[in-house]
Amino acid sequence: MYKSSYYWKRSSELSFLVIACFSLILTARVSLAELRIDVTQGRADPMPIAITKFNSKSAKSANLGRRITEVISSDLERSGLFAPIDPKAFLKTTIPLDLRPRFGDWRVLNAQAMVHGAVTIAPDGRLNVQFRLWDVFAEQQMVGNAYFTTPQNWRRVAHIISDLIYKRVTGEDGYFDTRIVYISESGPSDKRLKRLAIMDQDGANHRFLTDGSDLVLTPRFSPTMQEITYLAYYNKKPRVYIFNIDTGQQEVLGDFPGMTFAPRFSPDGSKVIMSLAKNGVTDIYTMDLATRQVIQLTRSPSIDTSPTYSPDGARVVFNSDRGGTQQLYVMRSDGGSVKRISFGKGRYATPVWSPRGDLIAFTKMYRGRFYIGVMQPNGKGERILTDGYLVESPTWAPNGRVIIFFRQTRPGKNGQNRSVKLFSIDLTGFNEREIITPLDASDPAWSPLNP
Amino acid sequence: MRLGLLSSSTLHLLVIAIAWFGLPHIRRDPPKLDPLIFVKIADIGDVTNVPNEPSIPEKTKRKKLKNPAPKTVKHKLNKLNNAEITKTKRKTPPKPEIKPLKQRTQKKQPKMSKPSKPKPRPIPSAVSPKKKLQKTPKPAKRPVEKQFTSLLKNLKKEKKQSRNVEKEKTLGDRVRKAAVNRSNMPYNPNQKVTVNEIEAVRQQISQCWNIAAGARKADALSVEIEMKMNPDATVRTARVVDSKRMNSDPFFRAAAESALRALSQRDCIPLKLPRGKYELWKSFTFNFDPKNMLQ
Repeated sequence: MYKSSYYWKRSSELSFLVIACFSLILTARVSLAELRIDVTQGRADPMPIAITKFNSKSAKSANLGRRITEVISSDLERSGLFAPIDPKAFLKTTIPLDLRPRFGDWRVLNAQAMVHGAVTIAPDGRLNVQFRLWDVFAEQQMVGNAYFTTPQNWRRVAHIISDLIYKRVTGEDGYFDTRIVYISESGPSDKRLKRLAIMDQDGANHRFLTDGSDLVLTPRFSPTMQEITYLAYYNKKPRVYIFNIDTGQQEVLGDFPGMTFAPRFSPDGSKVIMSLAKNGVTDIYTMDLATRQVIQLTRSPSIDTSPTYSPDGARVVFNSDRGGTQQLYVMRSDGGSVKRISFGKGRYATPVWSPRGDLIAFTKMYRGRFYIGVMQPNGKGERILTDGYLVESPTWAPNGRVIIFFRQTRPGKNGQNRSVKLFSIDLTGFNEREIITPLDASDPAWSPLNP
Repeated sequence: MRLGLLSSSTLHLLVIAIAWFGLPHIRRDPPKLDPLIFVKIADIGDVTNVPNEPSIPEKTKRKKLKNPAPKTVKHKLNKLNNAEITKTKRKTPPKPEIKPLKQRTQKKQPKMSKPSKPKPRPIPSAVSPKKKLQKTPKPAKRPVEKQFTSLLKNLKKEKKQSRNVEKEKTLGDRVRKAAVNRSNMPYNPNQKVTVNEIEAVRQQISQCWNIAAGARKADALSVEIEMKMNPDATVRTARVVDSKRMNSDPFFRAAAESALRALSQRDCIPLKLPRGKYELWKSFTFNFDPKNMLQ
């Protein structure tokens, strides 16, 4: 009896040795075949960010500091990717720029990023704005920069800082330092006054570019210069014009026998692509702005219109009714290898190639309703972002992540109470917001980043 | 008349009978399935737990030997999680570079590693059993055996939790059983940490992981993060595997940082990993793949 228990004890030790050897081998194998957890689901919540009031020494710079902070905060908030934390919750309202923030103070607010900065007015009257963006969890500075400018430019500096924060956090270029040109509408529907207007992307610095004596339509920004091309009825003749924002100069683009419309710049800004209607047939043409050389790209007996270049300039997307109904087609920029890409139900129009090249935005009409959607350039992955009684004319933010379009409500009897407003929506389709304009607004066009 | 009545009533009875036996919801027997499933899951977890446990002593033994007073250390360890990290950080003098700097992007490595880095640390699994140890009839002399009892104690504890009552056995019996289990089952790490347990962590992390919606090239933005864990399921270090791309590709960096942020959020700080299986998740890899979310 005693013996056997002794035996067991021995054997237990023995087996322990055996197991120890085993486990040695096994641990070696563990490191090879490591546990791996795939996380494929997440949230799409905006990132909580704490933007503290920029430091300042004088009353004037304090005022600017407060307003710069507000602009940054509302820029980031509107993007839908950030959730600025209410400053009332801050334990400290300002953090000196030369001190490392106490990250615990911000962690309790659940802030994932923190911004602080300083505004000073130099003796020569110039404005100096500095800021830093911190990763609260990693406790590291993500980005920081300083700007010298005239005090009148404080709004632009705020937008540029927003762009930098946006870019550092998302990897994508920002779009806050941009402008929007659109058609401002007012008056009764039979005597509608349509003026070309321009404003910052947040609605500030609004001004009219034309006086409304001529009808203007479809303005488009040059991707490289401060120029706009648009369609205007001058002396009742529709023509494509080019307008220089800085000088206010306006020039007609070629004198064609028919009607030209739907103009758009090429990505390098050297050409304009447009439609020309002649003898009941509409085809697509390009005109070189330097040499004024005109090239015809499509030759079909149908209506080909709304051409847009891909960002690399190699391809063109347009809509055409050559197949019976209005559909989207892609061709090489020399007019070769035309391929239909839209096959869904309904009619497709106003395609616009995203500046980052991966998507084409379009308007779709189906059963009396309008939709704004995106699809890949090969026609796959169609996704409808928004719909309405009339939604039309999408235009991309320069980073290809946000679309502006206009939305018209169903008019009441006799065309009363018709409202046309600009809206922005991001690629998720969830973040739709109205862009406030003084009057009714349609036909928006987003500028590239300001130079 | 009578015939009609008769046939009508038999037909009615027939219909009722068919309904009674045929339709699932008429009888009131409670469905037995729910509790069954629950127990089964726990069972699986335990069985798979057994064979791999012997691998724990190898590592813990060594660490424990160096550390004579595990109790106090455990205390410290709990504290360490958050507050300590911030405190130590704060003490470091702020860098007073006033002139900010063109796009200063410092090296991006997760900082969590710092406070808990180099000294060999005891592991709670090695700590808690020590108390229990006194209950065991034979106080073990050698650390080797200590570890063994502790290990099995752990195991028992887990078993109790799963209401799987097991008789006290002698050390030899248990060792033998472990050995037998081992030989029965080829080692497969995917089976050891059960699917449910992995799913729990996945669920937890997906609550903390914020994907920048609408990102470009979402199909090429999967981020692998090499995790080194503390036994209390807090993160010791989290390192982005592809550090080169982190520096060159701003999109990848943004994605990687959002993944790292998920791992330092309050809701995710102790990961819901099975504490008894520390050896299995001591180091593991997270793969954050936003592909499905961004299409």
